[in-house]
Amino acid sequence: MGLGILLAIVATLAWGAGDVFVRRAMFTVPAELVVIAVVGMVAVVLGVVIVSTEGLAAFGGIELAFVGIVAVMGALVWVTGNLFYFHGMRRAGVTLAAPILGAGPLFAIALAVLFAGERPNVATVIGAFAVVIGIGVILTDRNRVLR
Amino acid sequence: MAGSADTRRITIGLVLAVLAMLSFVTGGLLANHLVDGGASPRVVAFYEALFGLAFTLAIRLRALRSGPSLVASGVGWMLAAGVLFALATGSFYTALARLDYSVAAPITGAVPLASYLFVLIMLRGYERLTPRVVFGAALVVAGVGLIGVVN
Repeated sequence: MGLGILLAIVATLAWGAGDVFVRRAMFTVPAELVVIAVVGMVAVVLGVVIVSTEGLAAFGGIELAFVGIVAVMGALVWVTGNLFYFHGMRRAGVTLAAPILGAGPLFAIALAVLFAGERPNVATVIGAFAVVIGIGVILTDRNRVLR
Repeated sequence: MAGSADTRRITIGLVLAVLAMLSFVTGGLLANHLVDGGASPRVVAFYEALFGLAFTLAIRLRALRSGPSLVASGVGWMLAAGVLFALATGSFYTALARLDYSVAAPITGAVPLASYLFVLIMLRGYERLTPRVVFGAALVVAGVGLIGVVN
């Protein structure tokens, strides 16, 4: 298995565990504070790792276009992504909202084809469908939730 | 009348969920563009989090001032979540430097399954294993496995 695939699986497991830790933190801490603490911690950890492995020079030589794109990414991932999902889940319920988020891979493939000119092979598209359908099957099973 | 209000509420919720999904997907595509252009994946993830912190602070500062104070018992969970999200973002953006976005993104589609497994382990008594869940998990694992093998 390639290193890239392995890293994507590590990311999946870490996001999955992180979501549960966030859910556990929200038992006692307001959601707003949890989001701010978590994103702050992400910046600190990555900052320490970068300084340790690449040195302070890694932060330099940044172009304005780069700053603009990462600013948009910060807004998309941490503000509209989390905020809209939170409000969407409150209004539509988790059994309707969660599978929509689970369909993300199919839209990711569509965007990659349209805007990045990628040409995924048929097996990758079939695999993506299997992931999305599997997640839909799990998230819409009301019997799995005990409370 | 109440039915109409419910339909409207649920429709708005679904629209917001779609917008959230598109936000996450677009964020990933932009990250892919930057790392494909030679930017350090970890630096991209760092600045994304820095801007995310600035935006969330700007939006929620007032709510925090009037809200309840920090409860010590949640600090450990938040810090651990931060470390895990840093690992996740750094790993995913590094993966994007080696893989097409159309290959890496479907693998991270399995995040809800990973969350479910950790809930079973860590938050016992909240969810249970059902035959339908096992079937869904088998589909997800098969899908990720297929993507891994062919790429």
